[in-house]
Amino acid sequence: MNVNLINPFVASCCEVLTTMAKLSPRIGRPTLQERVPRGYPLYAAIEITGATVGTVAFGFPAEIAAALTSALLGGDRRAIDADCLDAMGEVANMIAGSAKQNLPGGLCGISTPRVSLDRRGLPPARPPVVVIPCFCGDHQFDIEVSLRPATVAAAA
Amino acid sequence: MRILLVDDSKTMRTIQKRVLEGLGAGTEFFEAADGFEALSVIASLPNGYDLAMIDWNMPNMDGLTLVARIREKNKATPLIMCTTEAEKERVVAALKAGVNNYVVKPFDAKTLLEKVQATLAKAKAA
Repeated sequence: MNVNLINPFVASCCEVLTTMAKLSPRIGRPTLQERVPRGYPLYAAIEITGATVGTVAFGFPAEIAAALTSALLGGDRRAIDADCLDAMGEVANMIAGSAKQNLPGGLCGISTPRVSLDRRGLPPARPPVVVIPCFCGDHQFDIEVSLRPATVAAAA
Repeated sequence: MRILLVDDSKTMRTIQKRVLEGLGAGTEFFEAADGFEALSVIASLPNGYDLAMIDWNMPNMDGLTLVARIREKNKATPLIMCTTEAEKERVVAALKAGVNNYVVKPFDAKTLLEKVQATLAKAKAA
């Protein structure tokens, strides 16, 4: 997988969470997984199209989703509710927009992000998946990247 | 102070409202989720508004079209484009359409508040 397509999303995720929510994620060591990882209760996913196809998904535990929503909207939010889904959609939208500026020119396009309480309704991730763990305090969320050249995907 | 917030994300409108409450007590906010809704809100404000924050990418009518529609009748009220679109060509297009300032998301609260204050001050001095 082309690291030049992955790094802009990681950097943008850190920038958005730090700038907008004062959460400063610490990035862990990426792993390559041959299966689609276990599910988080909340996902925001961006579909990649063009010469490279696939998904970049952000899997959030309830604690981080609630902390992000509280930071953006105010109050002490605990539940994954409609406000939380809307907030996570906007977070993913800003990550996508910011990443777009740093993606190698002409290699791919990116979709409007989709948010889901589970993986249903999201573009399917296909293994292998690069999983980048990110840590906010005691809690972990993951960036899951599943990208393939369009020629390979078409032949599969 | 009467501020119009135009963004299809309720979250973004709430964030902007929280930041722009820093303009002072008595600031009133009006909201719209797309360009058509914004024109309808504007038509319902007989006393006008002091500034509009406008997103670029929205369903039904995008922000650039909205700016052009507003500028057909109103050259004076300051408009700020607030968007994830950061490319230079986009900024130039927005300025040509008539925006007074441009804010790229993500933004920090201080930067947004300062840009809005500067835009209001410049419009007042004009």
